[in-house]
Formats: sequence, structure tokens, C-alpha cells
Amino acid sequence: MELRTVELLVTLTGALATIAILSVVFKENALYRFFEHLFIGIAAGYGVVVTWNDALGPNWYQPLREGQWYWVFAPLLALLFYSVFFPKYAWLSRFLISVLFGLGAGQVFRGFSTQVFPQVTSSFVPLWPSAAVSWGQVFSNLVFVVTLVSVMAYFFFSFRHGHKAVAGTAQLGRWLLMIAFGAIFGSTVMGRFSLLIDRIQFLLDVPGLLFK
Amino acid sequence: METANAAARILLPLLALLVILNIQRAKRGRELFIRRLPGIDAIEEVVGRAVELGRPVLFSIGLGGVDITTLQAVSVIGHVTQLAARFRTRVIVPTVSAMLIPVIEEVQREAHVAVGAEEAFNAQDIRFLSDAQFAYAAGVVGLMHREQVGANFFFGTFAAESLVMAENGQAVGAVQIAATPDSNQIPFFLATCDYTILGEEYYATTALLSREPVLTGSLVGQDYVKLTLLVLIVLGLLLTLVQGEEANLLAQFLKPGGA
Repeated sequence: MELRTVELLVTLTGALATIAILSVVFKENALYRFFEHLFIGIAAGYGVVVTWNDALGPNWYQPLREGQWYWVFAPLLALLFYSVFFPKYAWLSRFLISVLFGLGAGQVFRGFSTQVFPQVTSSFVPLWPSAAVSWGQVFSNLVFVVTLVSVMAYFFFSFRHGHKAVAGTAQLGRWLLMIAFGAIFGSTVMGRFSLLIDRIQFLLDVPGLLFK
Repeated sequence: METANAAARILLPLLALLVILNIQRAKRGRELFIRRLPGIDAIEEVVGRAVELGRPVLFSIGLGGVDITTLQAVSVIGHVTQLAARFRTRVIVPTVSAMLIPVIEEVQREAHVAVGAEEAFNAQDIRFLSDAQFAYAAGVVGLMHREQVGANFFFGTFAAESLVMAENGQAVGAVQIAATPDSNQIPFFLATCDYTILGEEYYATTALLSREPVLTGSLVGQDYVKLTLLVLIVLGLLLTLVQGEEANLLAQFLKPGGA
């Protein structure tokens, strides 16, 4: 097929898919439904290719071809997942699931020290000016510390917020959280708008490409 | 080989001990206080609205696979299914992880049995859509419109698709409740959902719903862990004032490969 024809087909399909998916804003319709299922189908096919290229190919098939014969048992274990389709043997799948849960729990335990400890040390900020720390920096650090302590106070669930100081700190924490969420919302919406503008620009360029 | 530093070797067992001790306290029957959270109190109301409307409930567990965040969501599915099954209301669970399907099936089946509604359990309501983020979102949006869901639950790990799904939930007139520990997605849920469970509150949900000693004890234990970390932070700030940022002994002790 000619290069320009391929380019035209790809662009037109992209434009149609964009319009179809966006059309759900008005109402769910047959065109949206078709492209929704197409999207899910393509993602499933793509997933199969990625699984082979990134996981099974290099980590299982390649070592097997190089003579590491014991890898032949790996698919047998993986097949236990399919035991869910046979009620009598469904318990076999739980063995694999429990191994995965155990691995996940272990990683969380390990992640605690690698993620939380650096966050704790990052909070040891200077609260008094020096040759290296300006008053502006001290103010910024103070805002950081107040936010950190008050937000932590908000997330204590087993301590009664009866005392005015505790309740006030937790309330301040909630307000500061909302300010932070507002800032995140604003910056992300700006990013989303740039994506939308890019997509609209793509649609506007389609007629030009057709009649070039 | 990578090994734990002294801080990890000393502090991790100590912090784990705080959690274990509180679990033991709860198991011995000690009544542990946990404050009420409005978002969690609203779960019953949200299911009730779907029942009144005679529409199904949709429960999205987001993009997570087999991890702690998603497992918490799966526990909440059990609670929501029990509430809905009493009135023969369906709870549709679209998922990105095929591995979770047997777990969710088991949880939903048990929830139906618990309220004497075994015949209402339908394994077809647990659907693997796609493990690709936006294909999953497109599928969930399609489901919301076609099934005309009365209530949406968004519990778990979400990314950019959160706003797409919650916005469409609003469009079909569903009552919505969201919970995620990811602070980047909370703003979108706050803007589009009727109730939002914020950050750490997410992990308190299952403890508050079930009142199981292990979960409540663990939650209280985690509060003590947070308190310990807060004390460490205050101590670190004081040492920075006295010793300076570079010479801070506590920072040196906690840093990777320290002490």
C-alpha cells in the first residue's frame, strides 16, 4: 500500500476514534460502544505481545533455549491459576495467590525503611537563619513544619480530638490539605487542557491532510 | 548484597512491636477508640440510594493488582455487597487484574451467603475489562452508561483515569463515594464525588467497617507508629537547630547505609 494511503488511513482512524470516544460526553451511543470494545480488544492483544517480549521471552523462553531445563516447570505452576474454573480444584489457585500476597507484604515492609526514613530526615529543616539559610527559607521551612505536624494530627484516628489544641491542629491540617489539593487540581487541569488542545489541533489538521 | 542499616534493624522491629501489641490488646477484648469518619458513615446511605432507585452499584478497585491498597478495597466490596444483596441489588466489579477475580468472587459469594441471598450471586458481575489504564476507563464508562448505575464506589489505586470515570458517574446521576491513598487523585474525587475518604483514612475504612480486633488493633498501632515518627521529626528539628543540618546525628543514623 502506498505510504500516503497508509498515513491517511491511520489519521482518519485516529480522528474517528477520538470523536467516537469523546461523543460519550453527550450520550452513550453505538459508535462509542464500538470503539470502546475495539480499544479494550487492542489493549488485550497489545498486552499479550508485551508479556511475551518483556517477560516470558527474555525471562523464560530464552533461558529454556539456553539449556536451563528446570524452567519447564514454571508454566505448570502458573497453570494452577486456571484451577479456578474447576470448583473441586479451585483451592490450588489460592496457593499462588497467597504467595503473591506474601511477596507484596514483604515488599511493603522493606519499602517502609527505604521510603519513610528518607522522608523523616528530609523534614529536619533549619528553623533559624544562618549564613547558608535566609529568612525567606526559614519562613518556607516553618510553613512546611506546621503543615506536616497539623496534617499528621488530622490523620490520628485513635486519639480523641477533644482537646481544643488537638482539634484546632487537626482542623488546620484539613484546611492545609484542601489548599494543597486545590493546587494539585489546578496544575493537573492545566496539563489536561494542553492534552485536549493537542487533540483538537490534530482534528483540525485532518481536512488539510485529506486535501493536500 | 543490599542489607538493612542500623536504623532499619532497630526501628522496624520496634514499630512492628507497637502494632503487634495493639493487636493483642484488641484481641483480649479491650475496647479501642477509633473516631468516626463521615465518608465511611456514608457508605450505607450511598448503597441505600442505589437500592431506592432500583439500579446496580458499580465498585471500581482502580489500577492496583495484588497489593495492600487493592486488598483493602476488596474487603470493602464484601461490606458493600452485603448491604446491597439484602435488597437483591447487584454490585458490578470491573477489574484490571485477572488474578483478583477468584478473590473478589469468593468475597462476593460469602457476602451473599451471609445475608441469605445465595441465589442473587452472579459471577458475571465481576468483569475483567483490560489491564491498560484508559481501555479500562473506557470500559467502566461504558458500563456506567449501559447499566445506568445508581451508585459508584472508587476504592483503590487510581491515576489519570479517575476524573474520566467519576465525571461520567456524575453524568449518569450516580451517588459517588471515593477513597484512595494517592494524594494526586484525591482533588479530582473531591470535585466529582459526593463523599471522599482522604489519604490515610482509606486504611481506617476496613477497621471501622468490620471492627475486627486485628484490624482495629493494627490501626491503633499505626497511630503509635505515626506518633513515634512525629517524635523523631521534632527531635531531628531540635538537633538541626543545635548541631546544624549537616552534623545532625539523627539524620546520619536514619540515612541509607548510616550508622
